[in-house]
Amino acid sequence: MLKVRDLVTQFRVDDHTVYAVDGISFDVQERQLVGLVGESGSGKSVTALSILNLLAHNGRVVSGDIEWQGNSLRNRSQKEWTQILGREIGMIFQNPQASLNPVFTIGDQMIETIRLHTKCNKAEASEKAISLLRQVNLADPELRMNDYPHQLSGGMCQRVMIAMTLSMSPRLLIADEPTGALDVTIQAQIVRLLASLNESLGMSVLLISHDLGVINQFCDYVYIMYLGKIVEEGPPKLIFESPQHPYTQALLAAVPSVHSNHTYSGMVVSGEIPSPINLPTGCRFHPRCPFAMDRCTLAVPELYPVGDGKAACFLVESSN
Amino acid sequence: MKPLQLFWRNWQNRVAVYFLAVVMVISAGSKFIAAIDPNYFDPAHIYPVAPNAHHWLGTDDMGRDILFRLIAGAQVSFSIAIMAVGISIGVGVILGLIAGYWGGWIDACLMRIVDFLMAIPTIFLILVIQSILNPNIVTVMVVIGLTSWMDVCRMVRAEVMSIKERPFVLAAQARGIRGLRLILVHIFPHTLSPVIVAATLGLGGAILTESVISFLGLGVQPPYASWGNMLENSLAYMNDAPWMILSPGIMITMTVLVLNVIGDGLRASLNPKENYVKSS
Amino acid sequence: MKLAPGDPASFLMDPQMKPEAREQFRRDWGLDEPIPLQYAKWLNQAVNGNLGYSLISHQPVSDAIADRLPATLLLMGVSFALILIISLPLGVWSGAKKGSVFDRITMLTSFVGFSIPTFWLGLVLILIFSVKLNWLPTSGMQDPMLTDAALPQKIADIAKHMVLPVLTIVIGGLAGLTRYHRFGTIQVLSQEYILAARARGIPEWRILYIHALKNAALPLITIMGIQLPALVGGSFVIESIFGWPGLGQLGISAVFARDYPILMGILMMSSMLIVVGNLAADFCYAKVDPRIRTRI
Ligand SMILES: Nc1ncnc2c1ncn2[C@@H]1O[C@H](COP(=O)(O)OP(=O)(O)O)[C@@H](O)[C@H]1O
Ligand SMILES: [Mg+2]
Repeated sequence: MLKVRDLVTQFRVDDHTVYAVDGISFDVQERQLVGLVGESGSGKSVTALSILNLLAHNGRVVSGDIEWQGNSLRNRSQKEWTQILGREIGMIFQNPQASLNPVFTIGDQMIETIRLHTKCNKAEASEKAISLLRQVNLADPELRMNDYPHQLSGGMCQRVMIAMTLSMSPRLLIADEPTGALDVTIQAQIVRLLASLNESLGMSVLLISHDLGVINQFCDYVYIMYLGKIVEEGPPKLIFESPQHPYTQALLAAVPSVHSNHTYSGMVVSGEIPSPINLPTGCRFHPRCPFAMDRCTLAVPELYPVGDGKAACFLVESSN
Repeated sequence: MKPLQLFWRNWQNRVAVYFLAVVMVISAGSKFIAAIDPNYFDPAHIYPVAPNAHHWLGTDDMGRDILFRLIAGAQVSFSIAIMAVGISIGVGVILGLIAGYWGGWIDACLMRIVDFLMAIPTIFLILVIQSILNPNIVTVMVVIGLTSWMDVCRMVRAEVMSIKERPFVLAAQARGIRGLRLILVHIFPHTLSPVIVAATLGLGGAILTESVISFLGLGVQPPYASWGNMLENSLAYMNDAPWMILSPGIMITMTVLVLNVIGDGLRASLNPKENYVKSS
Repeated sequence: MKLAPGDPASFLMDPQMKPEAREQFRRDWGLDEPIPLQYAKWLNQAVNGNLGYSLISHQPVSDAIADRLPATLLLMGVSFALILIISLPLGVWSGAKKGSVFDRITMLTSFVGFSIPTFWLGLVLILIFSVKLNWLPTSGMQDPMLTDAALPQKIADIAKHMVLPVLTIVIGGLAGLTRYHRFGTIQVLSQEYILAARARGIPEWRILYIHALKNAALPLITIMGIQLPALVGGSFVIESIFGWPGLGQLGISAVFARDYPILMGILMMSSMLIVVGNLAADFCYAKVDPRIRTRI
């Protein structure tokens, strides 16, 4: 359904080029829940915004293809985009409280969105909004309609955002770290809500997170991203049970529940993610990789197939 | 990149600095050239003469050369602006540091005083004070300075209140550094960049204020020339000698414009983050 | 912030006062009444109260001020309204099109407008439109020949006299507000809720004129309050240049005549005008911004 091929997105800052996304390819099929995981700064949000043509002014999709239902999304007119955004592909963001306009009530914002996409009067829209809020398990939806965003908790705001997106019944929902700013218990609730909507409505979901722990059981397929490249992909079983790329292993080690009974517990990624202005040569992970070889500093590894998945590491290539 | 490099990369900033430098050098240098006498007049021509080969910008109602008076006036206007800004920055910074650092009732009192002074139309207050005093260059400097420190004070206070909670200040306090030393060595330097910007913009403001009060006859007094008092009689000669109005006003506008460009350029290069809008 | 204490009573009251006493105090001082009413009462007090007599005309100061106030309020009200109406769309549009030709021209013009001495601008406008072109009257508010004319004719006459002073004040005041407004728009447009609204397919004009405008307009209310003193001070000089028979002209002539009772009266009056303006700004802000409204 969504097919991204060799997507390259860059930003200009003063005289520098930021190589935020550097040739990534992935697919989201009908009814699938796909995970995209990587540390902060690896280019996940930029990927999502590139797909929806919502990049900041200094950013540009330089090359690659983004195909939606068989048609390219690149070079669409502003008018076509208003048809696609929300109705075909919806998106929710990391900080739900900041995603709602502080000077309008929840009701105002929901009704606006509903009336934008379906012909109906205010009362009908309001009714629909309340039923949607109920669908996302928000308590007292009638009362919440008159509240302002600052009167709601982060979790409640995220439910409102999800309800608002549902009102347009998109075929695909991109959820960019929907739980990043929330408490741990709320995080699980929101992810479960997304999974159940994926199940019940058949809406595809691209779930973005920096935390492998958030992704786990619900996904159909997982992509691991590092510094603008996909370094490993596969079904969650493979990623969680036999991760191939050292970066995936390190991400796993950081998940507390998996940590205790796993062989990767000793692996911790040291240091910071390098700046995408001065990218390391060769494999981007080599400066922080405990298994780095001379070769890794020189050549960029491709994605080599392993089992049901793929991994971009020379260790995988040699073991095949 | 260093702030000054960033500043200098912008052509508008460069043009502004060059313009200011030229005006300052000419007005300072003119003192040593005897031919440039702003007060010389030909007793046979005590009326405005239109611009001609002899008087490039014409003469005023006393027959004095306007170009020469502009050059001499630059010196007076700049000296007043610099001294006035010095006073207002000095008072504003000191009171702002005190209010921000000690807080409590000192802060409350100072802020009420600031609120009170801000509620008076400054120009009018200045005019009233000047009418009581015997207006001259020194009173103009002092009065402008003492009526324009409130913004700086508020700004410095706000800066200090946020800086004093920052880790490096807390660390210095933990090492037993207190009082004046803490303020001067550890807090004050961090308020400098907004103060520099405010000072640059303040120079423009002071030149404007000086021009108004001198235009009304309560500022710089003859025989001294200032850009403001050159306009004093221009209203009466509007029909016969429009050149008397145009050149001083254009000079003021250009100079203030240039100072505002520099101030804005400094602000942009001292906090480059303000210009970088992140998307997510 | 200034919002916290809320009303002038808190300046005068002992913070230790019991709530009942506080109420009593407010009632005694008439502070429990709505702000416009309070202001009207204050005006009444000032008009009836003893502010002394002019040293020159021997007229009661309150009478002299009351005579001049309407002209000043008219001039400032019209100028203020125009400044708001023009700066708002100008600032929003150039903020939305940051870096475009339109934005550059607006910014350059506003920089120049910011730097022109307002009184000199007034002189130049008189020079062009009254002296050279002879289109508009040089000074005053009404043509003495028309004192007995019909009302519409009189209004047209006043309007004609107002054009130049209003133009001068508006050009002088426009630059600052447009810049603030542009900056506010740029900031608001970089917020996440704007991105989220775009992601919902909300058309660009709604984003700009509904989602962003309300947010960007909020700080403007306070800034209007902050700019008020400069505008009031500026319009004093403008009044005296254009011979506009308002408080400013009265004040400036009193400065030269050293008519201190008048001066004190006007200082008080204009400060009050500014304080009331600021209170009104805070009041509006609290009314409009839900984040503050719920805190009160
Ligand atoms: N508007 C922008 N201008 C310049 N650099 C940007 C911009 N937006 C994002 N970046 C950079 O792109 C990189 C990827 O960012 P992002 O996609 O937000 O990471 P994340 O994986 O945490 O979502 C980061 O290094 C970030 O600094
Ligand atoms: Mg992100």
